[in-house]
Amino acid sequence: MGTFFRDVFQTRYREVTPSAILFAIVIGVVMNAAITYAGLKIGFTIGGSAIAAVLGFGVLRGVLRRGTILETNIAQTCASAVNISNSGIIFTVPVLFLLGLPLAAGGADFWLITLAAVGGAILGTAFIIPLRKQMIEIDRLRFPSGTGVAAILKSPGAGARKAVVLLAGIGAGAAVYWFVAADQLGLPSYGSLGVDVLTADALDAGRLLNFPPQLELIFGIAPFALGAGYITGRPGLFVLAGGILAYHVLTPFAYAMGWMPAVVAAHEAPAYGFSAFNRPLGIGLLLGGAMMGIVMSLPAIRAALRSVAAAGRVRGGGDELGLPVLATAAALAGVLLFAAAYVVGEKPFNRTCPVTGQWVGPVSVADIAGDLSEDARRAEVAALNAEVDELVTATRAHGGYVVLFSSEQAARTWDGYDAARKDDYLLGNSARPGWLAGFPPLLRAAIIALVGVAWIWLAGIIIAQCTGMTDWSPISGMALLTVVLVLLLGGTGAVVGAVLIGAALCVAITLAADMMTDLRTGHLVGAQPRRQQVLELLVVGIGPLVSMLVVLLIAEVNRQSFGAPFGPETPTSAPQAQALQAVITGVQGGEMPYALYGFGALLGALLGLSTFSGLGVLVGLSMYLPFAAIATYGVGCVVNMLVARWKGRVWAEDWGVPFAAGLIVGESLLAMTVNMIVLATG
Amino acid sequence: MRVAGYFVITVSLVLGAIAATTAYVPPLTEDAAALAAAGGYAHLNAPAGVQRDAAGEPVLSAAGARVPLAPAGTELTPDVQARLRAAGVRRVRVREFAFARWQHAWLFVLAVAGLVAGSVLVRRDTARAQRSRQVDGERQTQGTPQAALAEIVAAARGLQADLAALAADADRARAIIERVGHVQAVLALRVVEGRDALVADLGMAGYAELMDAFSRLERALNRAWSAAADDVLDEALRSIDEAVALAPEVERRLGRGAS
Repeated sequence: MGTFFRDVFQTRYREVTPSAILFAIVIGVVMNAAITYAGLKIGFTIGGSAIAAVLGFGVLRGVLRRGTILETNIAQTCASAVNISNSGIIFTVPVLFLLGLPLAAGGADFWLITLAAVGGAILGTAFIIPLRKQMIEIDRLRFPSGTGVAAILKSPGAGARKAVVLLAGIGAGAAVYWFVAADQLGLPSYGSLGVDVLTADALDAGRLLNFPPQLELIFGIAPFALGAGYITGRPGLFVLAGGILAYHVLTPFAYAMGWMPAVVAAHEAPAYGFSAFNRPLGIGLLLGGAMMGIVMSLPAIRAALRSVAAAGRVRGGGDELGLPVLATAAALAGVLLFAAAYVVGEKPFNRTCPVTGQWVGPVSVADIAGDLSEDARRAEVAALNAEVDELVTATRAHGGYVVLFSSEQAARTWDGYDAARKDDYLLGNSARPGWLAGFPPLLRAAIIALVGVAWIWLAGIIIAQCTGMTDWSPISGMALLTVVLVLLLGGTGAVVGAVLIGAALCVAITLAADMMTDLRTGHLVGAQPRRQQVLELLVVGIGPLVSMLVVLLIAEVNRQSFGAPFGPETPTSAPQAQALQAVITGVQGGEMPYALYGFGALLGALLGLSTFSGLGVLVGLSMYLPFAAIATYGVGCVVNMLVARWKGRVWAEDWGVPFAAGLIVGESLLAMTVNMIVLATG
Repeated sequence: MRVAGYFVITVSLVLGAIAATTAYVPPLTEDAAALAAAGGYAHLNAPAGVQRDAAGEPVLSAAGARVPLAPAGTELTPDVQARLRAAGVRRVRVREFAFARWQHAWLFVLAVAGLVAGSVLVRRDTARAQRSRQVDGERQTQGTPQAALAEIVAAARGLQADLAALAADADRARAIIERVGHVQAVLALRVVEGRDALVADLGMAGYAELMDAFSRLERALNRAWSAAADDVLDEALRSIDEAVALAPEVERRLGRGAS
C-alpha cells in the first residue's frame, strides 16, 4: 500500500499534488453548479475538461508558478470528473418534479437517488478503466475534445506561435459564440439582428436556398461543434451521412408519401419525423452498431484485459489500476444500487388511498387545484401533510407494487376486492405490472440492480465509443432506454425506481466518457494512467451531490417565484427531462415503438459487418441528434480535409488542431462565464 | 468491387430505414379486421385526418393548428376506420405493431440481405487488396505503418545516444522537444492511419498485442516531451531510457526480432 501511495504521489516530476487536487475540486464544484443551472435552462451541458485545462494553467502555472503539464492534466481530470455528472442528474431527476412526485432535501428519495448516482459514478469509472487500452491504445479512437485539451496543455512547450494560434482560436470561438450567449443575458443576439435566415443560434440555409420547409438545412452557430468536427476529420463525415439520411431522406420522403398525419404542417415535419421514427431508429442503430462493435473488437478487448491484469500483478501496481481494485469498486457500487433499488421498491407507489381517496403520501403545491394564492396553497399543503403524518396507515402488496391505505380498515376493505378490481385500480393509475412482478421484493431489487450494472457496462462502452469517434455522447438516448427497461422490469408505476436507476446510469455513462477523454489527453502528454484513474475514483462522488443540491435549490426557488419547480412556466424548463417525461407517459400508455428500436438495431449491427465496425454507431448517433449540430460538425470535418489537401496532413494536424481546440475552449469559457452571471443575478 | 459494396450498403441502409418507417403506419383498407389487435382494434398513436369546413378548408384550433378527425388514442373500430377512409385518409399511425400489416416488410428483408451482401463484397475486396499488397512487397517500402514503427524505435534509440553527447541542459531539452515532436506529429500519425494494414498483416490479436507494447513506448516518449517542455530534464531523460527499454518488445511483436 505504501509503495502504491508513494508512486501515486511521487515528487520527482509534479503530477499529483495537493494544490492540483484542491484546485480541481473547487473549480469542479463551481462548474458543476453553473452548468447544472444552464442545462436545466437550455437542455444541454458543456464538458469541463477544456475550461479546467485553461484555468489550471492560469492558477497552477500563472499564480502558483510551479505547475507542470502533467499536474494541469491531473487537475483537469479531477475537475471535469466533479463537473460532468450534472448532465446525468438534470436529464433525469427533474422528471420527478414534472410528474408531481415531491422530492425534498430531508426526504429519503433525495438521498436514495443521490446514493444511486454516486454508485453510478463509481461504476461508470470502474467499468471503463479496463477498456482504456482497447479504445485509446489499440483502436486509437480520436476523442476530439481529449486531443484538443492535450493541444492546450502542450501549447507552452510547443512554442510561442502555437500558443498564439490557440489564443486566436479561443478569441474566434468566444467572438462567434458571443451573439448566441448574449440571448441569455437579454442582450442583442443573432436572432435580434433582423436577418431573416438567422435564428438565435443557427443559420437557416434551407430558407436561404428556398428549400421546402420539411427539408431542414440548418447550421448551428457552434464553434464547439466546428472544432470537434475539425479534430475528428474525415471519419466524422459518417455522422453527416446519418443526419442526411434522417433529415433529408426519411423525413421529406415520409411527408411526401403521406406517412405523417395530415395535421402535421410542412414546417412541423422535421420535429414529427424526429420523435416518430428518426429517434427510435437512430437509438436502435446506435445500440446494434455498438453491440457489433463489441463483438468485432473482442480480440482487442481480450488483449487489453490481459494487459491490464498483468499490470495489476506488478509490485506497486504498474501503470494501470488492476482488475481486483476495479472489481471491488464495481461490487461496492452494485451494492449501493441494490440497496437503493430495494428501498425504493418497498415504497408505496400511490399517494391517495384506493379505498377512501384520502391523501396518504406527501402532498406538494402542484397537487392543490383551484384558484388559490401561493400562500393559501402552501397553507393547504401544510395542513394536508400534517393530516397525512397523523394517519396510521397500512400497506398491501399487489401486482409487484406496494399499495398504501389510510387505515387498516381501508386495507381490509381492499382485501375483499377481487383481483380484477385491484388490477383495474393499478391500470387506472398507469401502473401495469412489470416482468418481475411475481418475484419477491428482495430478488426483484437484486435483478434490477444486476441488470442496471450490466446495462451501465454496456452503455458506458457505447458512450465512450461515440465520444471517442465523434465527441458527441447520446446520454439522453441511453437515459430513455434505461427508464424504459426499468419500467418494463419493475412495472410502469415504478417511476421513482426507474428515475433512480436512470440517474445512476446517466451519471455512470457521462463519467465513463469523461474518464476515457481525460485518459486520452493523459496518453498524449505522457501521464501515468493509474494516477489519473485513482484520482478520478476518489472524487467522482462529489459531483452527483452538488448537482442534486443545485436541482433542489432551483426547484424550491422556482416554486416560490413561479409556482412550479420546473417546466415551461419557469426560467428552467428542463427540456431533456420533459422529453423523458413524455417517454415515461408513453410507456405507461403503451405507446413506445419497440419494433422500430429492434429494426434499427438490426440495421446498425449489419452496418458493422463491413470493415468499419463502428459505422452503425456513427450513423445512428447522427440520426437522433439535432441536424443543426451535426451540420456544423460536418463543416468542421470538411474543413479539415480541405486544409489537409491544401497544406498537407501534418500541417493540418500541427496548426489546425490548436486552433480547433481554441474554438472549443472559446465557446465553453464564454458559456461558463455567462452561466455564472445568470446564476449570480438570478 | 469495394465501391460497389459500399454502394450496395448505402442503398440498402436507405431502403431499410424507409421500410422501417412504415412499420407502425398500416394502410386503411376495406378489411377492417386488418387493424384488429388484442382485445379489440389497434389504437391511433398520432392524430388522423383533418376536420374541414363546408368550403373544404381545414378547421383550425384557437392556436392555429389543424383539428384532426380522430385524436391520438382513438380505437380504430370499423366505424372509425370507415369515417377516416371516407375523409380520404389512406394510412394511420398505430400503437400496436404487427408483421401482418407491415406493408413494406419485404423491402426491409431485401435491405437486410443487401447489407449482408455489401459487407461481404467490401470484406472480400479488402482482403484481396491486402494480399496483393503483400505480393507486391509493398510492406518493405517506406511509408508503411511497419516502417513508421521501426523509425520510431530508431528515433528513440538515436535520441538516447545523441543526448549523451550534448552538454547543455537547454540543448538536450530542445533536442527532445524537436525529435519527439516529429514522432508525435508525423510517425505516430502514420502508424494510426495504417491500422488496417497492420491488422491484415498480424491479425486482430497480433495487432492488439503490438499496439499494447507500442503505446507504452509512445507514452514514455510523450512524457519525455512534457518533462522537457517543463524543464524537468531528469524525468525527460528517464522517460527516454524507459522508451528505449521497451523497444525490443515492440520489435518482437512486430515480428522483426530485437536488433
